[in-house]
Order: sequence, then structure tokens, then C-alpha cells
Amino acid sequence: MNQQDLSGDTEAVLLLCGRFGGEKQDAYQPLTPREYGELAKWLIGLNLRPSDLITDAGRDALANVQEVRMERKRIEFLLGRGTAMALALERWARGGLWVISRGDADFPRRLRRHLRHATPPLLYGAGNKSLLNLGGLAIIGSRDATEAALEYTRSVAARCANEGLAVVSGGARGVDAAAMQGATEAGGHCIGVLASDLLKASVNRQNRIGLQEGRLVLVSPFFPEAGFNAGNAMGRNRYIYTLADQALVIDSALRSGGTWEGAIENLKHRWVPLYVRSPGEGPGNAALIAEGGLPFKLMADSAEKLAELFNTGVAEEFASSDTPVEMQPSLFHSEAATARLAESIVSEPVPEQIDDVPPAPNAKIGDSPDTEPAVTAGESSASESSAPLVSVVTTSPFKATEQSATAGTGDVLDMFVDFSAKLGSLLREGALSEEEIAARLCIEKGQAKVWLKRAGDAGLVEKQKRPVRYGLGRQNSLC
Amino acid sequence: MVSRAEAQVLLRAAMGSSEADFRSGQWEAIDHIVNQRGKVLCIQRTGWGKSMVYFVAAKLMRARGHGVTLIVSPLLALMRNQIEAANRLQLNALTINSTNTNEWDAVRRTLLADGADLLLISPERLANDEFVTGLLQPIAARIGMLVIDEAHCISDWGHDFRPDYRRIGQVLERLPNNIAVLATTATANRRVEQDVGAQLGGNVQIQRGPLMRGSLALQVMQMPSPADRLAWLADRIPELPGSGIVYALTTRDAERIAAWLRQNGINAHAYHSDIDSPERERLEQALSANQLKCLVATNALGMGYDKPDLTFVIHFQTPGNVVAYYQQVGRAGRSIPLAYGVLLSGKEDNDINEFFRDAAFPPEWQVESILRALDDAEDGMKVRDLERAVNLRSSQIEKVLKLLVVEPRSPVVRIDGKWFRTPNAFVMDRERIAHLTRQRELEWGQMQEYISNRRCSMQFLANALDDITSGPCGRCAVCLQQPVLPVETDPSTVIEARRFIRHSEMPLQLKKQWELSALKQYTSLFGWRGLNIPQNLRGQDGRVLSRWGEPVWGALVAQGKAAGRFDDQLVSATVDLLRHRWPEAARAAWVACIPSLRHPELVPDFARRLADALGIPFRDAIQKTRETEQQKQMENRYHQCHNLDGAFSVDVDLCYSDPVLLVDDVVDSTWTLTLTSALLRQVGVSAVLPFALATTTAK
Repeated sequence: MNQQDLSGDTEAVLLLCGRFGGEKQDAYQPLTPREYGELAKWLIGLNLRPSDLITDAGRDALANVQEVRMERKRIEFLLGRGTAMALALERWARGGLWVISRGDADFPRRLRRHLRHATPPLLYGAGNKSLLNLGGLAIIGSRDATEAALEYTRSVAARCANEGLAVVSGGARGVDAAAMQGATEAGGHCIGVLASDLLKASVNRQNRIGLQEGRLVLVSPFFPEAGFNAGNAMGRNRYIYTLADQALVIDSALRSGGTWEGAIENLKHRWVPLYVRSPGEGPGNAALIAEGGLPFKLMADSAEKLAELFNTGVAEEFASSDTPVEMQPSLFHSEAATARLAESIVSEPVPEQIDDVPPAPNAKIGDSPDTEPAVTAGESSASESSAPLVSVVTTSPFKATEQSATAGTGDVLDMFVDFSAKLGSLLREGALSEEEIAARLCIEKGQAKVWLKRAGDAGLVEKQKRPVRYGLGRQNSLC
Repeated sequence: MVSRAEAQVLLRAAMGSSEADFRSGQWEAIDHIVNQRGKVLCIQRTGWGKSMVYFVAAKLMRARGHGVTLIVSPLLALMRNQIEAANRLQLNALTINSTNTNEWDAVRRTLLADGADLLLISPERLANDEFVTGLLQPIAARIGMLVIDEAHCISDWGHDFRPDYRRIGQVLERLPNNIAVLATTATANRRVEQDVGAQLGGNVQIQRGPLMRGSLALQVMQMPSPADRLAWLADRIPELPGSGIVYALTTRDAERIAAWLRQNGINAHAYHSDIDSPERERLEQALSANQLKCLVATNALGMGYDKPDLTFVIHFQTPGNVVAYYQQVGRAGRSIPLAYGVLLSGKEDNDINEFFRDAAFPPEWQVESILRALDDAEDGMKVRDLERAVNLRSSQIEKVLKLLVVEPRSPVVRIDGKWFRTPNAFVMDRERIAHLTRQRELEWGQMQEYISNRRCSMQFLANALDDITSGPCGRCAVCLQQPVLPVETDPSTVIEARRFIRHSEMPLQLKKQWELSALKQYTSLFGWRGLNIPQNLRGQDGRVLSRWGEPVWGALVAQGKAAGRFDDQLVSATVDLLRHRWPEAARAAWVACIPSLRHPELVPDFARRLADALGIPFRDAIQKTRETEQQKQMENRYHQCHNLDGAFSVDVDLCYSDPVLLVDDVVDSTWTLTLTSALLRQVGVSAVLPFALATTTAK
């Protein structure tokens, strides 16, 4: 991770929400994901982006931040934590860690789609970021699994690898480790979602080879140096489910424990189809099926393909929520570009109710200074669609709201959309200066400046130094 | 917005003078920092008033509700005049360094209560992970401004680029634009300036002032022979007023010169990296208080030392480049009207500088073997573990790790005291290394030009640092067309100096701890235990006659080893040393030696002749029971011990219980002498006095 790898927005979000290791003593605590969401909405209303907060314009705007019931002093204090951030980033970079925020192109789309405003503002990670959008099978189970369960886990994971399905795992001992091992050893791709110690995990020998070869990505919404914490461990379950396309519970205790709670949470929110090993060894397996899980009867030596199995039966209900990655249009495709700009912060609330989780009390500052406040999906009555310009598709019993990639452009005529589309094709030939771009697109230099800044902030283009030129953003691999 | 008038009020308060006005550039820097939260790179000579810039800026920032100003500087504390200025501004300045750990808690509390205005830490602290995570990180959120002193060290192009500073550069690169930074240096040419400017990121204001030093009188003398130079020092230093510094290139030379000056009645002391830091600090204070006439120092007496009334800086050998020379000679005469800067150029300078250039980067195979070992490790490794896995000295291992860990995408990382391989791929940047080596060769060439220069010496230095505004100084030997200090030496001093060089023996210290895990055979035989070698199994402190290959005895030892017989002159030189300069040696009642299967007669023959000359018996009491690898191929304690395990035995029937003189030809790690001493003591020899003809350890 070097400075160029951190987008301007991520820098600002990190200042607002990140922990760097010294927060216990600070007068003001970082924003919770929910608080950040409020602030972001307010910023959008002012036509500002998070990165603007580092500039004079943003600072002036903060005079009215009490409109969202936030203390100006707190926000200013948080934004002033640059030295603390730089020290932490330098340390993390040595372990090969990176940081992304909701607005970055690499930010996993599935998380945004399922968790909406409860999406964590920041993700810390190590390894190949592009794996975050692979989806695949989440394999869930306990730390203290039987040897038979571990063996079964490894064989399912290896089968995923052979069929080109990624495996999502929690990175803990037991079933998690067996899943990762089975997938990596069979040459497959793997996403590990960690609740603690990302920095240490990134140098763990078991993980290193996968990380080096680009087949493993480790990711965590928590401070990379955080030690184990039960709250975070539970909090991370939701990310395991929502990064995958379907989940398999190997064994679960009955009505207790992380595996049970996580599986129930997934069933409640109807994130992804939940398969449960059947027959399994867990006392809770049958109960999970009774709660809505699907029996997973695959024998270790069966010839049946996982992909076929997942494509039949109830799994179809998820189809609409599952826009294939390949269909994601070019970033310069006008709708997508616009959507991304809005999406990248937090978008307008739509009157759709998440009704099955009682609202959680707002996290109080200082409640648990050691831990990231766990994100609670239902804490706001309003959720948001991922983009204001797109029709919401809800054809399944699950509340899939992913915009159709080919949806109409809606009724907002934003010239920037047109500009960014043309800019995309123009820059494909190579990087150009501001003047050249203005001349080629027949616009005023001042206008080009404003739009280029906006495009740069959205990660669509990259500003190069000496001489100053603009080229296609490096995240723009989909072009 | 802060106005100039407002800032000037503070400046006058700080300087305690109602007349004071800003020097050119000071207000501009303050304006950029306070009003724009910008970054400033300030290249101004010592004494220009850089601290006034950050004092006034810090005061203004505090008044606007910003946090503490962090000063990263090799200085351990503010100078007295700086403290006075800070007090007059009512700035509370605190220091955290390795010498005041007992105050850290109090400092931390003050910082957390927002009660400090300035915090001074060293670059080494900032490169220490435990310090950063434990102490700095908790207060870092409140840091409103960063000051980086001696910022030229950040640059790859800098003459004394340091790993610690490379890390500072990486922190700077990650700072958001709303943190103000002031980077200061007195020595940066254009290239360093550009490099540091780039690492500071956008919106950098660069200030550059004249570098001429008005009080310094420079002189260059070519004196190839070390004896001539020693004699010159002994004759001239007593005539110089005040106190000063003599710079040497190596630790050993610093020690030798200091010993020679003391022998000539000059109150001198050596100062180098092998001296521990409390002692170094004591020496610095002694020099500052004029209790010493001079320190004879390597470049370990570095940027952190500031004595305003230093009268002379004399270089016994030529430093590798103009910037280093300017830095070192520039310590003289900071606040006095006249001071001397003399460069003595010797015949060995070229070889020593070439050695430094070659040793600047570890060879690729060392890097690879360390990375391979870490790659294989299940759960990280300590340096001790690495010593076992790779045949490298711990100092080599640490050097490699220190260089690797500051790479932008480091292949290693230290977590809780252990080293881990990171997922970052690593290829040795050969191009960068070749480039830096080439750069250093060019810089050495420029230093040669300084020696043969026929224009003003000061102007030459200023020009070399890209200060083209300066004209001739009018006070150096070139400008005056006559020596500043007499060049003559007393012939009798020269003869005395030659004799001193012949007597170039050194103390020989054996190991005090052993590595029993590598000495399984001896351990099971004798039941050896513990980390430390017990007193009753240790040898005494001994002597080494010479350094391998060095003039007079060292060269004769090398010749003797090649010819298969050591010259009789070495016998008489050894007798002379034993009789006159090693009092404890009188106790020796018999002689033994270290046998070798490769050269069975070489050392016993010498030991026998030495015993005859001393009039005591020689006993062939130690046997070599098996062939070993050459000990000099073994790079660290584990491998050195392991190579010797069970290789020697002592014939108790041939031993006397009286003290023995134990003779070897060439000593490197001292493990052979340490272990054979233990074996002799084990069978009841009352004392072992170790002696070697030459040492090969690098100093």
C-alpha cells in the first residue's frame, strides 16, 4: 500500500472512522458506521465528497454539521488525526495491508448490496483485492469440529476449487482453517474474513503462499491490530455470508454459539441460500433446516457438481439478486459511472422496511473503547438503494435490490455522466493533460478541471505527476 | 490568517529583543505553515534560525487550537539557547529518548492532557515499532505539525542516507494535506532538495540560503604517512586555543589516535559506535564543558552534537564526500569569530572509503538466505533463531533486516519481537544499489578535487552544495596563499610516532557467554551448564600483537603464514610487548599453543621459540582430535561453537597448574581461544593468558 493506493475518499473515511491504536485515550471516538452513514448523506446533500473535508471548502461546511446531530469539534479532531493515520498506514503497509472504502471500485459489491447502509465504511485487507467480488461458497462451522467434519470440509472446499468456485471462510481454527486449506491446496481461490489480528494473519505461513500467488484475500472491517474479541467474531459472520453466493454449515450447536447465530441471522435477512450438512454431527443441523436451511446431502465421493446442486431448487429464488460479475459494464458506461459516484458514499434512503430485526440502541461513545462497534443491520428504519438512478428489482422473496446493469438512465441529466463516458474512450489511447482533454472534448478548461477532479475522486481517472496528466484509473480493469 | 506583525511580536518575545526582525525567509516559512497548513523545506546554514520558525509557528498553531508539534531530530534535547527561547514563548517542550525512559510516563500524561507544545524525539525512536505503537500512537492524533530536522537524510541521494530516515519518508508520504510539515537541513544539494521535496508531497515551499561559514579558516595538507600525521597532531593541538574534534574513518584509528595524543600529554578521548550511549553522552558533555581538549571521533559523533564554541575540527583521514565533510567541519566556530578546519589527507584514505562503499549494501546471497529461512519458519524467528539457520554474524543479519524493513513494500516485518516474512514479493534492487555506489564514487572524486583545489576552499564547498551565490572567503589557506596553521612537525615527534605505530597491539577479550546448544560433546563430557561461562573456566584478558596485514607486524604475520615460518622479529616484538606493556604476562610459567592439522608446525614452532626467549617451558598440551572447517568461514556464534565441538582435547599429564601463556597465530571470533582456555581450566590450570599474533576482525 502506498499513498497512491489510498483514494482521497478512503483517506478521509479512514480519518473519520478508522482506529490506529491510540483511541482509548482520545477525547473523541471515531465515527461508527451508522454515524458515518449519516454524515455521508449530509455531505451528499451539500454536493460534497468525503475527500473535500480535507480542503477549505469542506472545513467551512462543517460549521453546520450539527444539522446531523454531530459535534463539529469531534469531526475536526478526527480529521486532524493525520499523523496517527500515517504512522499506522506505514506500519500496515509493511505487512502488505491495504485499505478500501465504500467508494472504491474494489469494494465488494455483494456487501453493499446485502448490507446497504450497514455496509462497513472501511475494509482492511491483504492479498488480491479482485477476489472480493468472486462470490462462491461460504463454509461455516465451529472451531472445535470433529476430525470427520474437518475432512468433509476439506473435501467440499477442494471440490469448490476444482469447479472454479471460490471459498469464503472465517479465518479461525477448525472448520474455517480446513476450508481455507482445502481450497488453497487444490489451487482454488479463497476469501478469509477475519475478526482480529489481520496484520499477524497476513504474515502467517499458512496464508502467505496463497497471498503471494494471488489466490487468497484476507479482509476485515476491524482495526488490523485488534486482538480477539467475541463481539467482533460474531460481527464478522454477516460479512462471510454476504461475500458469498451461498453458504454451507458443516455443523452447528443447537440454538447457541456463533455458527447458529450467524446462520439464523442469514436466514432472517435472506442474504444467501443456507445449506446445512445432512446428516451432520451438529446437534443444531436439523433445527437449522427446520428454520429454513436446505439439506446438503452431498457425499464426499459423489460425482454431482456443486454448481448444478446450487443451481437447482430454492437456489433459483436468488437468481435475480445475483447479477453476474461479468455483466458489470465498463466503469465508463454512463449509468454505472453515475451509480458509482452516488453509491460510493451513501445514497438516498428508499422507503423499504427491514422489519425483522428490532432497532438496536445507538452505540454510545466509550461503550467499548477496545472494539469496533458492531454493525447492526436493522438499526435504522430506512435502508437505501445502491443508486438513485436505478429501478429497484424485487422479484424474489429475498429482498434483492441490485440494480439491473442495463436499467434505464432515469430522469437526471447529469452532464458529467456524458463527460466521463467520453473521457473513458479518450484516455484509452493514453494519458492526457487537462488542456488536451478540454480541447479534445471541446469544453472550457475550468469545466474540465472540475469534472476531472470529480472523476479522479471517483477513481475513474488517475492523476499522474510531472507532468500532470490524467490516465485511466488503475481500478478500471473492467474496461 | 496570521499577519506578519502578529508573528513578529512572538519572534521578539522569543528572542528577548524588542528590535528583532525576521531573517529573510523566516516569515515566509511561518506564513506557509500556519496560514496554508503547507509544507516547507528549509535549506539554511546552522545558526540561521530554523528553530525560530518552528517555535513561532508552534505557538501560533497552539493559539488556534492545534495539537503538539512533533520534532524529529538527532539532537537528544534542545540546546540551551533554544530552551530559553521556548521558555520566553511559554512553550512547554518535552523530550522522549532512550536515556529518559523513567520520564516517559509523565511525558505521556502531559501529552494526553494536551499540556505539551513541543515533543522532541529521535529518528531511531520513530523507527522503533514498540515505541510507535506503545507511546507515540496514543498521542499521535493530537499532532498538529511535524518538524523533520536534518531532512537531507531522507533522500536516497543524501550522503548519509539512513534506514531510520527512510521510514520517516514513508510516513511523510502518507500524511494527508492538512498536516503542516517543516523539513530543515543545512546540507542539501539540488538533487537532495528535489528528492526530499518530492517525498513531502504537494504544496512544498523550498527555501535556500547561502551556506558560507564566516568564522571557519580552512586548510588542506597531503601527508601520506600516518606517522607524519600523528606527529603533526601532537605538535599542533596543544598550541590551539579551546577544544575540538579530530575525525578518523575507523573505530580502531580513533582509539589509536586518542591513545597517541594521551601519550603526548593531550587530554583526548576516543568516541565511536562501540562505546555505549551513556558513556558517549558523558564524553560529549566533557567536551562541551572544555574538560577534554579533544574527542577523537568517527562519524558516530554525528548531527546531534552541537558545541557553539568548538575551536578546531581536524580530519586525520579524508571523509567520503563533500556533504559529510561540510557537516563535520561545520561544527567548528558556530558562535565564535575564528575556528580552524584542517583536512589531512593520507595514503590509506582511498582504500578505506572503497571498503565502505563496497560494504554499504549486504550481498544478495545474504539477503536471500535470510528470506529463505524466514519463509520456512512456522511462526516467525528471532535474530538468535536466524543465526542458527543461516551462517551469518548477528550484526550482518540485523543489517540486512534493517535495510529490508524500510523498503516500501517490505519483505519482512517485526511483530512482538519476532521477524516474519510478509507476502510482499522481493527482488533486490540491483539497479538502485549500482546507482548509489556510482553516486558515491562520484562524490569521492569530488572530495579528491577539494584536496587538489586551487581556488577558495570554502567557496569550493559551498559550490559543491549548489550554493552558487558565495564568493572567496578570504580566510582559508588558498585565499591567504599561506598556511593557516604551521605545516611543520618536529622530527623527534615523527620518530616517536613511528615507534608508536610499531607498538600497535590491542587488548584481547575472550567470550563471556557460550552457546551450549552447539557444544553438545563438551557439555556431556564436562557437564557444562548455564548461559555464562563460569569464572573458573574463563581465560584472562590477553593481547593481540597486530592487525592482519597492517604495516610492520601485521604484514610480517601475513608473510610468515604464507612462508610457513614466523620471522624472529615477531618473537622479539612479542617478548617486548610481554615484558613492557602487559604486566600480568609476568605470571606465565609455561607456554601452550593452539594446534592445527593443516599447518602442524607453524604455531608450535613459534611458541617454542617464544618460550625459549622467555626462559619458560613449552608444552604441547592441546591436541586437535579432528579436522574442522576453517573457523573464519563460520559467521556466527552458533556455527563457530558447533564447528569446534569436541575438536580439541587437553593432555592433563603435560599441563602445569601454574598460569599458562596460550598462543595462537591469527584470531577472529576468539571462540578457539575461549574454548581451549576452558579446557585448560577444566583440567586444573590456574590461569590462562591468551595471546595472538594478529587479528582479522573488522573495525
